Amino acid sequence: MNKRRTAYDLTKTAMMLALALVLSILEAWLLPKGIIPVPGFKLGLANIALLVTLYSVGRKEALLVAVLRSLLLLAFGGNIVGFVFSLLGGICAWATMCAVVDLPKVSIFGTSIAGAATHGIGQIIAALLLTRTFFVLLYLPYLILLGSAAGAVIAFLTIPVVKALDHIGNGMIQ
Amino acid sequence: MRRTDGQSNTSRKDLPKRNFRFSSGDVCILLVIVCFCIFLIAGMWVRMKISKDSAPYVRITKDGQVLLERPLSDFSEPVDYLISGERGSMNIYISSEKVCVTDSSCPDKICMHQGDLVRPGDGAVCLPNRVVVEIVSGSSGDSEGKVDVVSK
Repeated sequence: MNKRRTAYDLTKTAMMLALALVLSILEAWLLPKGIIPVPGFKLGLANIALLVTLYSVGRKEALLVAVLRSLLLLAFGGNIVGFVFSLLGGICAWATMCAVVDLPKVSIFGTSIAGAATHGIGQIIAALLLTRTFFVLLYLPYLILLGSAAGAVIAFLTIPVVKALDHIGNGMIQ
Repeated sequence: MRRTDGQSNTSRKDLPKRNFRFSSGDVCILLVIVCFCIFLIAGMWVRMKISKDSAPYVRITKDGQVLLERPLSDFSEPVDYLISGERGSMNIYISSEKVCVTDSSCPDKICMHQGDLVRPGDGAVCLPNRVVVEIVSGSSGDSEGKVDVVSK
């Protein structure tokens, strides 16, 4: 039974990694160019995958998804700028979500919103490192507000996925 | 402490609690985020107000080094400023009314899509080339430029 669970967790993580990758690429297409004026900034739709992994597999695996997603994005024709952005954004989001998730009276909505907001902060840090000018800070409030709205939607979308994974798991492992 | 609901016994013990209802802790998180944003926006707004009457400068930064920093009023005759380097080249049009990136070797051209930069606070960022073109107002711009150079 333990072996089955390990295999099941591995499969879930791999699935979520694939989902994260597709979502990151899709997000670049879906967002109209004018809304976010700095190249590389993303709202973090791929946080869906991160959130699902966190809730139904575990923390370590969620970090794995965040890091591997950035690496694979780089492999699939991304540039180094996009890599730094998604890596810092993903790690910041992961750290915050892990910290927030066990606070009392915080639901999946709060976790997701906090993660999305820090995803934006991580990206601003990346932009600060790359350009070394404070000018990029101007975009911080917009990025955080847009990201938080996206975070609420993401939490809403994540709930049925986590429930469905539980359901499948119950049938498979017993 | 941490426990999963009875329905989900596939989960390991270290999994987060399954709380899917919007609860009071979430409101706190939202409030913190919104306050932080309001604080940031207010700070920028105040800075803009203070520095409104001083003369606008154009500043071009590459890799954190200031390449050009001069008041816009110096450019009564428009100038094409050329940046070339190992990463790529850019052409920036500067006149006393506006600054804009007219050509860039970067793949996404987002810096060019920014269009005309007219007021202090406007700017264009080109991450592939690590170049930032911005319009700053005289007084605060000066000090910031110096800090930047020193911190390098």
